[in-house]
Amino acid sequence: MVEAKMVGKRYLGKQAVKDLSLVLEDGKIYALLGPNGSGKTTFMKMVAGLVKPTAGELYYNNAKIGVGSKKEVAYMSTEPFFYSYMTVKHVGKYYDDFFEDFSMERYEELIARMDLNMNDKAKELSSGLAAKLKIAATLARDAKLYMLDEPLNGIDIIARESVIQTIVEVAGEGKTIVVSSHLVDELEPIVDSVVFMKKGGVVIAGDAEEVRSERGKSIVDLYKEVYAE
Amino acid sequence: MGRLIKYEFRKQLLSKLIVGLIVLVLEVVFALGLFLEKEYWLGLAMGLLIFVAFASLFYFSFESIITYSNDLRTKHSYMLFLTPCNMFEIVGAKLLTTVIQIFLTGCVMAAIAIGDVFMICAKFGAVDELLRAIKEFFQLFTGVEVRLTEVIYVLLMLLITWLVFVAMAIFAITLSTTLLSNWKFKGVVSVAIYFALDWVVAKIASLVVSTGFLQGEYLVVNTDAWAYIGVYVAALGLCYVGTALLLDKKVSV
Repeated sequence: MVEAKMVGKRYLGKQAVKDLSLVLEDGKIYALLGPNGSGKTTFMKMVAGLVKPTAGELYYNNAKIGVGSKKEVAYMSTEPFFYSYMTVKHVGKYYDDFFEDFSMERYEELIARMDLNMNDKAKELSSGLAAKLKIAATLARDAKLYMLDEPLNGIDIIARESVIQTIVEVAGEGKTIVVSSHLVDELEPIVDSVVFMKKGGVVIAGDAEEVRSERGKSIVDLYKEVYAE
Repeated sequence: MGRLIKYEFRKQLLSKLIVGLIVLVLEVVFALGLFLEKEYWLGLAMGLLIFVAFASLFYFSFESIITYSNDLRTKHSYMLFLTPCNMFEIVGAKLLTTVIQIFLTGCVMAAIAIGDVFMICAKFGAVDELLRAIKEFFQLFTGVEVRLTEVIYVLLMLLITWLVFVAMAIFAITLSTTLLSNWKFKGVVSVAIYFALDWVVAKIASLVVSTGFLQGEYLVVNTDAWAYIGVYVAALGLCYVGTALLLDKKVSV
């Protein structure tokens, strides 16, 4: 589904991603793990078409990232990005206007589940509610690939279960989901594969079960080991 | 592209509402001045209306440039660049929104001005005199009968040259966030590029126009006149294509 060949991205004086090679397969849930600055967000943005690689090649279904891939990839950024004038309802209308795979019915259902109100101003929401709004807008799309950057950030422990449950529901429909998070323990039970990133590159990637058995450790313990170095 | 234009308008709606409100208040002052025969109010309202008309035309164009800059530099950019629209549509929507805004603002302000002048004449029973005076004014000013071709030409030239000003600014901003994004003084460089482009286009236009289309004090819509506009249309096209290609190949938000 996604193939990265020696992909790199350099910003002013900083190499955000370097020689990254990775294949994401259909119908799996991936945990993209790594500390701040490891290149997770830059990689996701490259797949979403927001950031152009400065080296290497990146493909979605054997085609370059572009208008075609944007129709099928749903990206949720970690920062709030809705226009200042928008209410929760406006956000739904915007997605409905631009994405053929967006379901207003599903969006309304998710908004209700997330305890949001259609008339709430997006920019006035607390960080937790703003995160829920981003999740609702993204998951209301019937995309082929979901890229969720830190979806659990700012969300309280009870609501996290609801978010994870929603992600699992979406995954149940045969979708590919890439989730980045620091909260490894909460992701471990639901992911099929893991990708550990460090200094802009991939250090470990593979089936979660195989990684656990090969290394004789849980993903959480492996995370501590890899990033404590 | 219609959806993109809709949201471009929505993003810039607040300034239109504020200008609309100011015009409404000034029109009320104008009407009160007219019917209560308070010349000071009348003069003040007319003066301010003329000022607001020109200021809003400038501001709306400037706002298009600021909105584009924000679309590239803030997180709101995701709203635009996540959509499955190609860059030609995105840039085209921005330029078309600017054209529509300038055109509509010009039409509305002109309609208000004409309406106000006719109200004054109606109040003082001088509509016929006004029409005669307008005709005489144009004849005195140009020395010839006012022809529709010249009026349309002047309006078209103003619209296109103004649009090129916006398109070049958009192109310069795009350069600073794409090809020059890793440069330290990209802001200064992009401003310098803008002025250089402006100079180059004006220079080419002056070279292309061989005999000139201003004969003495009079405007003549001849081949040179159209060539002059042609240069600006070409500059507009180049800025449009250049901006879209740079966004397509290089933009990172």
